[in-house]
Amino acid sequence: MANQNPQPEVYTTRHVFGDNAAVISAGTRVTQTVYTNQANNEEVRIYGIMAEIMAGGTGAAGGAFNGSNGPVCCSCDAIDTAPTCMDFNITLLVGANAVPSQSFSIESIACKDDKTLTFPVPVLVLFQQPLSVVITNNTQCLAGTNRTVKISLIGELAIQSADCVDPSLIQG
Amino acid sequence: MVNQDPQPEVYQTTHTFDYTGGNIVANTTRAVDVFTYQANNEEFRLYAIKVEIEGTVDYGGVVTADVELCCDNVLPGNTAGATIVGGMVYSPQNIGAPSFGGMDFNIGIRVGGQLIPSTTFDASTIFCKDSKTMALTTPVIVLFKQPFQIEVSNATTLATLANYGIRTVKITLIGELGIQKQY
Repeated sequence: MANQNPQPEVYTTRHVFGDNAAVISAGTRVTQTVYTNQANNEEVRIYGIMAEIMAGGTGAAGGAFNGSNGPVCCSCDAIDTAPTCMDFNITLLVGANAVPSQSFSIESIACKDDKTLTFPVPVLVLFQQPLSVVITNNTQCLAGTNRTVKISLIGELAIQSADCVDPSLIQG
Repeated sequence: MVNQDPQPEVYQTTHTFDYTGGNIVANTTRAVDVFTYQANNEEFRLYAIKVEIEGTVDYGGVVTADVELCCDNVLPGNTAGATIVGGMVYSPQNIGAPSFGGMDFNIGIRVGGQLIPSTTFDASTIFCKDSKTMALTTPVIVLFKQPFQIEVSNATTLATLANYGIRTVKITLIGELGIQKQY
């Protein structure tokens, strides 16, 4: 329930890949549900998303890599090896449907200067519609690799407003 | 009380996490009050926040405190002093830690006892943007006598680091103080 109308909202989800031992198979999906706690006359509008890919995850047996998360470099120089395990896709599920209708790349967003993708129109989330963020690993990652993908949904929570109808459009 | 209407305001809070002497468990919060000194007919409008994360680091053998951390820096000529994770070389160096780490924090904005936005959100993504700034879609409104706090918490455990285990998160609130208008 909003404390002001509209109320800015930033929902962050964390998607952990890897157990510090096994490979991360291509097609591995990690889904997180977002709880908007909106009332029946409110809607959430998501205007953009921020993304970051971090090294480290929960690690084997509950936490060898806890607290070690740091952003992965996007374009490492000659001293470094090329960044690996960065090929992730995101799907936004609103209700039972993906909005946008297709998944799209996270790496290109995380490696932008502003790490943000703005939608041309907001994604609408209505009362009681489940909102989930699904991250999929597109390419197999080596054994021992850990990644945490962080997604921040930037939007607002607002009371639904009724659209006024232009009387001239009403026939009869 | 404003000297002009509206009056630009920039408030800064500092949140320090010292884990040189022991672990800091995940979700430990450091809260700092913001004093707006507004009159009863004024409101503060928060439009954006800027994030800075500082720490004690070692860039090639020189230990320095309160240095702004690098998001994806690769040491150009001194890999011996860097931390290597999965074949990649990072700074700052964190001897004894499995990675460079210590950059995973959440931010909460509490106005009148309520979080606005309604949940905490990630800090390092904002810090690692070129602008280090995130604009909110609509302003956060702080009214007269409403307590205004910024809360920063570590999202993952900060494992003890004897020499380098200090992180300082600085939050800059960019907004304006104005006289309330009736429409």
